[in-house]
Amino acid sequence: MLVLLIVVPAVIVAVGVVAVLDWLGVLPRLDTGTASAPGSFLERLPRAGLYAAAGVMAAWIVAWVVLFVVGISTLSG
Amino acid sequence: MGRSSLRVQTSGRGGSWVSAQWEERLFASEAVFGRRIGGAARPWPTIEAWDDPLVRGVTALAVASALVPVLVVGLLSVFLLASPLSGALPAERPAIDSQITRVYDRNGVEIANFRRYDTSLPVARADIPPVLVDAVVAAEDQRFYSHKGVDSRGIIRAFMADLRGGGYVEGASTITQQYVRMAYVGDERTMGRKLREAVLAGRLEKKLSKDEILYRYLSRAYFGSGAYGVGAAADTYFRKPVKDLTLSEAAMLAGLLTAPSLHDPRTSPADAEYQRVRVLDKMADQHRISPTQLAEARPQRVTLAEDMPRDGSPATVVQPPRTVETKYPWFSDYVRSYLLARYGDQAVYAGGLRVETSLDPDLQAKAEAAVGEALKGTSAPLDMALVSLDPATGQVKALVGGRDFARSQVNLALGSCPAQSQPQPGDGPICVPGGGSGRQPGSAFKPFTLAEALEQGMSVDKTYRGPSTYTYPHCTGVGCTVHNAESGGYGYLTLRQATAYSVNTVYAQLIQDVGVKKVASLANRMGLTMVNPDGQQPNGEPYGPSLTLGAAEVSPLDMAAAYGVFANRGMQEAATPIVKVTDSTGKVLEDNRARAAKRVLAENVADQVNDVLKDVIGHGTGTAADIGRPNGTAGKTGTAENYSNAWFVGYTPQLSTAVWMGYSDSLRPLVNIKGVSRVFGGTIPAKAWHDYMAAALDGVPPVDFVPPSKPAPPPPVPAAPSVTPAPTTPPVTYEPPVDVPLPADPVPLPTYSPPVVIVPPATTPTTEPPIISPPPSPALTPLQGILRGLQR
Repeated sequence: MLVLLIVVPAVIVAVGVVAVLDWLGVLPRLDTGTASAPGSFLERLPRAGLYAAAGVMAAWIVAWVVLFVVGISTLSG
Repeated sequence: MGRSSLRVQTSGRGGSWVSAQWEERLFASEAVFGRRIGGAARPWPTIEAWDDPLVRGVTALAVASALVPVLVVGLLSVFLLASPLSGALPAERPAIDSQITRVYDRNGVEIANFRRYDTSLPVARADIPPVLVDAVVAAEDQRFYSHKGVDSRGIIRAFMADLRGGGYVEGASTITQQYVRMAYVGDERTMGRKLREAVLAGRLEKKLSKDEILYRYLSRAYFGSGAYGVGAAADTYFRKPVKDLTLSEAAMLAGLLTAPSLHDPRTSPADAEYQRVRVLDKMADQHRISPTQLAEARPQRVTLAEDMPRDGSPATVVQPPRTVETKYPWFSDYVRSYLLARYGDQAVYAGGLRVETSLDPDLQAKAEAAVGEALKGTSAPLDMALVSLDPATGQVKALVGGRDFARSQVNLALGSCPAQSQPQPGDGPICVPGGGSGRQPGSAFKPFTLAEALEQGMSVDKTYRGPSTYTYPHCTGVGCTVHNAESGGYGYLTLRQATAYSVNTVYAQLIQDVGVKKVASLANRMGLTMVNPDGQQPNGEPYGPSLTLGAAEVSPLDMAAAYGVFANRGMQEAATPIVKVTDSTGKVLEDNRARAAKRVLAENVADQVNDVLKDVIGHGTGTAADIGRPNGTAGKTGTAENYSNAWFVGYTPQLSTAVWMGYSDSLRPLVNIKGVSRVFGGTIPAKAWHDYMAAALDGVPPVDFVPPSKPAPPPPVPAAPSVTPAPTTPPVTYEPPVDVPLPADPVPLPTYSPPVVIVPPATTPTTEPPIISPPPSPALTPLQGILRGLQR
C-alpha cells in the first residue's frame, strides 16, 4: 500500500510533466545531433524523460525503505 | 577517461557480447555522420549515451529499484522469523473490569443488582470445567495443543474453505492469536496488525503454558449480552457458576464465540441452537466426547426459560437478562443512591460489591399496604412517602417513595442534596438524593426548636402567650405576621401545650428566644441534612423565625432519622439502608452492626421531648395516630402553608416513621381528598402512620419511654428579642389547634392567668378523642365552629 501510495502519484506527475513540456517543444534531447541518427530513438527521447524516470524509481526505492522502517517498528513493537 | 575505457570494453569486433547485427548498425551510423572515434571505425551511439551521467544515473536507479524490494522483504522475513524467540511481550490491555453489585435484604434474599451492561466475573482456573475447555478448543482451534501460536495448516484449510465458499467462510486465527488480539493488538484489520498478532502469538507460546493461555482467553472472551469472560457468560445465560456448566451449556457458550451478537440465544435461539449442535458434533468428531455423551446432549435444545417444556424433558435453558427487576424498587433506589453517595459510580456499577441491607420485607409490605390504603381512591400526582427505621441502629426497615415506581422514579422519600463531587466516607449522616427537592415539614419541625430550648435550660412548662396572630417585632413587609391555624387564639400556654396543639404564635416567639441559627444547627446535627447548620438558606439568605414553622425543606428519610434521635434518647445512629458492604475481594467496606452511636442531644432533653410529643398523640393534633401505647408513642403533625404538604412523624422506642403526603408535581393544596376538606398532618398522614405502625408493631411488646429524670429547672427569664429580622424564608405554616372532636362543654382550666384552655390528657381515655376546650377569647369563629362540628 505504501509503495502504491508513493509511486503511483510520482509516475502520474512525471509522465504528465514530460508530456506537456515535450509538446511545447522546450525539452532538450538526450543527444542533440552529432551522435544520433535523425529520427532515432535517442534523438526522440527528451532528457527530461530520463529525469522523470529517475524520479519515479527514486520514489519506488523510498517507498520500500519506508515499508522497511514501518515493518521493523511494527514487528519489534 | 570513461570514454576510452568504454571503448576498450565495447569495441572489439567479434567480442563475445556484441552481435554482428549491432555492429552493422553502428557502422551504418558511422557512414552517415562520417564520425569515427579515436581513428577506429567503431562508432557506437550508445557509448555516447552511456557517457552521459544522466543515463548512468538512471541505470543505477533501475538496478537499485530491483534490488531494494528484495532486500526489504528479506530483512523483514529474517526479523519476523528471529524475533519471536527473543522478544518480550508488551503490556496487556486492561480487561473489562465491571462486576455486578448485588443487594440482599435482611434475610439474605437478593433484591436488586447494580451493573453496567458490560460485566465480567472473575473465575479461578480450577473452576473451568474440562467440558468447557474441550468445547472451546473443538469450536475455535482444534490444533490448539499442537501448534506454536500460528497454525499454518489452519491457515491453508481456512484459505481453501474461503475459496470454495467464494468468500469468508472460516477464520484461521488460533486461540492464542485471538487472545493476543484481545490483550495486545486490538481488532484493527490491517496487515501490520496481523503481522504483529502472529509475532506476539509466537512469543506468548514461549512464555505461557497452553492451559494458561486458554484460561486467560476464557477469562476475557466476549460471549454477548455484555458478558466478558466465561464467568459472566455462565451467570448471565444460566445463572450458575462456571464450574456447574453442563456439556450442552458449554457447547452453547463455545458456539457463541464466533459471533456473539448473531448467535445470541435470547434474540436468536435458533442460531444458538445450530451453533450448539455444531460444537457438539465437532467435539464428537474430534473424540473429545463419546457417542453416548453426544446422544445425551444433542436433544437438549436451547430454550428460553419462559418457554420451558412442561414435560420436564432436558433442555439448555437460557435465563432472561438480569435487570433491576425488584419487588422493592423504592428501597433499592435508596440503596443505590446511598451507595453512590458513599462510594461513587465506579464501585457501585462495576465494583462487584456485596450489599447486605436492613430491608425488612414484612415491614416493607406493611408500609406499602398503608400507603396504598391511604392513596386508594385517589390518583396521581397525589402522592405519599413513608420511611421507617430502627432508631437504635439507624437502619431503615421500610421505605416507600411514592405511588408507583413504574410511573415516576422520583423517590419522594429522599430529598435533594448539594452537588457532591466526591463520595462521602465515614458513618455520619449523609444526604441521599432522590430526584425530588424535599418538602416543607410545617409544624413537624417544631420539636427541634423545642429541643434547642430545652438544651438551653428552658422548661416545658415555660409559658408564652398564644394569640391568634403574632407579628415579629421591628418587622415590616410581607411575612411578618404569624397566624395560628384556623386563626384560633389562646391565652398563656406552656411549651408542652403549645406543642401538643401546635400553636404557631408561641413557637414564633420561642425561636426568637433560643436563636434561629442554633435551631438550624441542632436540626442538622440530628439528621436533617438539607438544613444548613450555618443558618443560611441555599440562596444565601439567613433562615428567618419561620424556620420553626417548617420553612426549610426536608425529606421523609431525614425526618424519620432525626425523630429517631428523640426515640434513642439523644443518641444518633445515622440513617442507613446498609448492614454490611464488602467489595469483590471480600474486604469489608462498611459494617453498621456495631457502630458507635453519637450523642447529639442531652438524654434528659430527649426524654422531655418524648414526654411532650406523647401528648400530641394523646390529646393533641395527632390523635389519629394513636396505636394504643400511651407511654411509648410520640409524634408530631405538620402541615405546610396552603396545605401543600402534610406530615406525620412519630416513633416508639422500636421504630421511627415519617409519612408525607402531597402532590408530586406542584404545591397544590391538599383539599377535598377522600372526604377530607383540608388535609392536615393529623388526618390522612396520621391515619397512614397509624395503620403502618399498628401492623408493624403487632405482636411486639410495648416499650415505654423513659420519663424525664428530674423536674425541669425553673424557666430562665427569656431575653427580650431585641431585633427580629424580617423573615426571608417562605411564609409561615398552619396547624389546627386540634383536628379532633371538641367536647360538648368546654371544661374550664385552672392554673394560668389568663387561664389556659387545655384539659389535661390524663382525663381522656386513649381510645377516645381528647377533650379540648376552645380558647376563652377570642371565641371560635362561626366557620371554626362549623368545621369542628363536622369533625366531630
